[in-house]
Order: sequence, then structure tokens, then C-alpha cells
Amino acid sequence: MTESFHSSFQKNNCANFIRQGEQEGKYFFRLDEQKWHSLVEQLKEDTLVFLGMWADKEDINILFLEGGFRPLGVKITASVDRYLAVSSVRPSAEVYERIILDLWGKEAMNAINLYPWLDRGVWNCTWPLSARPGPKNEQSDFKDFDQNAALFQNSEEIAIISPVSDRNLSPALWRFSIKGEKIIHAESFYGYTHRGIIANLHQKPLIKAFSLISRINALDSISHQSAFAHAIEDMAGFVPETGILRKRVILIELMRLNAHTLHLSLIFRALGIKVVAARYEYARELLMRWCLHYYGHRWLMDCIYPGLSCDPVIEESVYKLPKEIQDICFEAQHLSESIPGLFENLRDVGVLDMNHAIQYDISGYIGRASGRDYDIRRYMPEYRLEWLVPSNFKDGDVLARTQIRFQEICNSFNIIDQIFQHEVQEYHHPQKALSIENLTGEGIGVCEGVQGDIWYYVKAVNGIIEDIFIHDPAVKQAMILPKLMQNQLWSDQLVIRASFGILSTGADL
Amino acid sequence: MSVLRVLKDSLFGNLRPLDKAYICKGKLLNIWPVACGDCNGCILEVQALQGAAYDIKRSGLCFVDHPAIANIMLLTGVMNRTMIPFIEENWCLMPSPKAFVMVGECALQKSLFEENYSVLKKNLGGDEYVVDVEGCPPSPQQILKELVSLLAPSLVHPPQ
Repeated sequence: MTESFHSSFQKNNCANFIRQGEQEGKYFFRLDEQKWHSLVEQLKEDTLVFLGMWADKEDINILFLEGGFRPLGVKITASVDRYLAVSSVRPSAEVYERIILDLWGKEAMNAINLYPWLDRGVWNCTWPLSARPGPKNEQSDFKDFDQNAALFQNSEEIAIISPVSDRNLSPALWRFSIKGEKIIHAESFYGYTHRGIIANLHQKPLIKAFSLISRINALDSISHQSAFAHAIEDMAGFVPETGILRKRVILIELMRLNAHTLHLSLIFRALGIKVVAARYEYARELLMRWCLHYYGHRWLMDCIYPGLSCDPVIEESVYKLPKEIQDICFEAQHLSESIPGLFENLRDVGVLDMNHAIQYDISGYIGRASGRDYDIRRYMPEYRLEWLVPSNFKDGDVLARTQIRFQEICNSFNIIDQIFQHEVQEYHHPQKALSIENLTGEGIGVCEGVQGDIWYYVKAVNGIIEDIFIHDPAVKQAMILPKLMQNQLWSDQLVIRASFGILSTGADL
Repeated sequence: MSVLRVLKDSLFGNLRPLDKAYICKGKLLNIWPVACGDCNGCILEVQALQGAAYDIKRSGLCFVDHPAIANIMLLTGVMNRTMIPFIEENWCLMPSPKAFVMVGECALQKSLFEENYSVLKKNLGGDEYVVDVEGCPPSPQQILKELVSLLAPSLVHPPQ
């Protein structure tokens, strides 16, 4: 008993240790170099969840989640542009350390891997966001074409999927070494769609940032808008009315339906089952036309603002999604279930086990399909707990991910239906406005997007963005995906990638 | 199992396209779509055009698997320094006559993504640039209409 009490006390030790630092703003505590080293050591024994990290001038900012949902930040100063890596104790930090080196030129000591994540050697400078950007590397050729020695060892064939490929909806370079039918090594490179979003958002007025935020990732546009709006609302200490929150849920779930129908159609196309894929394509097109008619945009861009949510065009028929969409989705699911042997073929393919899902902080339906019981909607004020259905598929394979998508489609239809029938009609009174022109402070917002939890940290002075961090779960998912490919059949790689549904816009930003 | 799949396809496979098709007989446009630095919206709309809700085969449009058999390079997204070498390489592989089609505001350099270390606001233009499709992102119907106008302008813009 004493021992277990002692160990549970130990588990909360890191959060308490962080709080001993000097507080800076609402969420951050500054630690000196010695204390940071000590914290990294303590993290080995602690369960504090790593969320993300970025640099700002001379500082490195690291965000953790206490209890899995409460943000807690650490600021450290990178002396001579170096700092002790956190990836040695939180492997999911690897990708952020690589991004920090690419964009800010600050190097993580003891890092697992510092190969460029975004910089493919053709930018017009190195470390573009650093206070002192370096010159363009004239010597560098395309870094992607450096052949990895591991790729050739024991392999019989090398396969390359170029970023410019018809089947590659999101540009990324894939290289596989294959022996017989099996993949023995896989690697992926991103950065091809990097648009310098962070650079574009710096020093931009908050009010002008919304259109850009809407267009970071079309398939998760609503989640980005919602998380950003939450961050601004948090900064202003503003709590939106229930009606606004419920209207946001409709938009979020419409987006989820859009994404799941898209990825299911891609999965079934990859499997060669056109009869099912066609139904999802059809249902998705009907859904997008419905969104265009009632919300004015097929992708629901520019629909959420702080303290506001877009109202649909008020007609009697708006309070019901067309039954045809639901019917086609269910018909497609039943058709797929009736194909003999299909689900057996998907079992044990591309397995992501629970330990890896936790270790690499894989959220969203991919994490849930691996048994990681993490859904940030439980902590979002928009949602009611009874709307969320627990998942029964935990094997972490393509089959589990596909079935979770089926389940989430049903769940989204139910949520939208319940809000339309019982809630939204009650909220038509004018809403309290929130002025953001001269806002000063910092805020954090979150939304459970299609791929997982999207977080925004925003710091503004007089309505101008001073610092911003965007956590898109696709980054961590993109990092783990090549590891799942090892020992899989080459013929399965397309369906494994489709089951993950990663779009590089999320991984590149 | 494959026999069953074929049987299912024949029994359930036919979905009626949502819009009236443009029928272009005897003409074919081979399209090679390339996504650059977009939000994925435009390229997914191009993808939707290839799906069951549209009947593009009868309109003479064909999305191909390799640039060596394409007439049209369809570009979406802002021009990205990292993608330019790939685009140039693919352009060289395409046989003449060939042309660019720009889809979406980003490709037309009207987007919110500003020029920076990674994004290049460069006009690929020239004689090869034949048509642009505005919208953020443009709908599949818009894309279809502009592409068909290359094959048969009278179908899309009937003479008065």
C-alpha cells in the first residue's frame, strides 16, 4: 500500500517539479538548464504526456498534458543553440526536434534522429525562422536521393513512390526495400507541401488569420478553425453560449463524415472493391453538396469565429441530413460485410500495437483502433458524454481501423440527428459578440479532428500574433507509419497507407 | 472470391451520375494531376471528379498513371520550391503537344499563402498554360466544365 502510494506520488512528480519553475504567462514555467536535465531524467519514471514543442527566439517551448488533457508548458533557453533532447524519454518528440532544427536551427543533444523532416535542401535559406537565418546551401542536392545503406541490405528490390504520383494524394516520398513479397524496410520523407504556415502567421492580425487557418488542411478545416477559436476565446476569457457550441458540433461531425467516407472509398479502391468505394464517393459528394447549399461552402471553410459559429441557411429541411446519404453509407457497409473473406484478409495487416500508440502519442481513430482510449471530445465543452460511443475494435490492424470508421460514421449521424432534433432549434437568439482587434494574452484551444487532437497555442499583443504553435496529429502518425510497413506484404502497402489516411498538409504545415 | 466481386459489381455497381454528362465522342484528354503546396482541397476535388458521382469517361477525360502518356499537367496548390524539380522532371517526360491547367486560387497565385522561404509565387505560364479554374477550392463541376471546354468549347459555352 505504501509502495503504491509512493509510486502514484512519483507519477505526479514531474508536473509538480515543473511548477517549481518561474511562471511565465498562463501555461508556462521556465526551467534552467540543470533543472531541465533533471526533468528529462525524471520523465523516464513519469506518465506525463508529451504534446509538442517549438522554438521562439532563444527559447524552446515544450507542452505536456497533465492527466492527458490539461496543458502544462516548460520554457528552456537553448544555450549556444543546443538543448537536451526529450525524444530519449518521449519518442514522439523526435519529429518536433527535427522540425526545430529545420526551422530554427536549434539542435537537440542525444536526439534519436535529426534527419531533416521539412527541409529538403532547396529553400532559399537554412533555419528560416531563426533570429539569424543561414545562407542557402548551394552544395546541397536533393537530400531525398541520398540512398540509405539500410535500404540495400538483404533486399532484392527497391521501390520508390514519388511525391508526384497520381495515386499519392498528399505528396511524400516513399522508399521500400523488398525481399520476395515482403517489405523489409520502409522510409518516408515529407516537406513537399510545406507552406511556411508559422512564418505566414507571425505578426499577422488575429482577425486576418482565420481564412489562412481554414485552409491549413481542407479535410480537417473545421477542427483547425474550432481549436483556433477556442484558443482566442481562452485568451479573452470568453465562454461561448451552448447554442454556439452545439452548432460547432454539427460542423465538426459533418467534417468527420466527409473524411471517413473519403478514406473508406480510398481503402476499398485500394482493395479493388469498386462497388463499395463507389457508394462512399457518392455519399460524400451528396454530403458536400448539402454543405454547400446550407453553409455556403463544400469544405465548410470560414465557418467558425471566436464567439460565433456559422448558421445554416434556415429552411425546414435543414434540420435533417438527407436520408439518402445515411442509406448509401449503411448500404456500403453491409455490402463490405457481405464479401466473403474480406475482413479476414484485413486482419493482422499493418498492426500498430497499444504500446506503440501510447509511446508515440497516436490519437484519433488510429489510436482508438489500437486500444488507446483517448478521445479529446470528452473534455470539449461542445460535446455531451452520452453522445460518444466506446470503441470495441482494439486490434490495431487495418480491419480495426476500418471498423472504427464505420462506427464513427454511425455515431456522427446520430450526434447530428440528436442536435438537429432536440437542441439547435432552441438557439436562435442573438449572440454576445467578442472583439478580438486589440486582444493581448495567450490561450490554448483544442478540437478532436478527424485524425486526432488538434491543439493551438496562440500568444497575441494588441491583436497581433506574437507566437503560435499548431499540433496536428498527422505529424506523429506519419512518423510511425513506415515502421508498420516492415514485414508486411508489398501488395498490402497501399491499403495500410489508406487506412491511416494521413494527408501531408497536416504533417508538413 | 473474385467471381463474387464481379457479380456484386454487376448487381450493385451502377450508380447514376449526379449531373448530366458532357459527351465528347472521339476526343481524349490525358490528364496528369500534381498536388503542390495546397490544403488538399483542390486535389481532393480532382479526385472526387474521378469518382462514382461523375461520369467523366464519356466526356473524354482520362486521368493517367504516368506523365509519359499525358497531354495535360493539372497543377493544384502554391508553387513550392521543393516540388519544382519534380514538376520539371515530369514535364520533360510528357510528349508534345502538352499544356498546364491550374486548378484553384493557390495555383493561380491568388491564395493566402504568402511567398516565403518555401513558397515561390512563380508563374509557370507561357504558351503551355491553357486554362485556369478559379475557386477555393473549385467544385468538381467547375473543374469538369473547364476541362471539357478544352475538348469541345461549344459543349460548355453553346453558341448564342
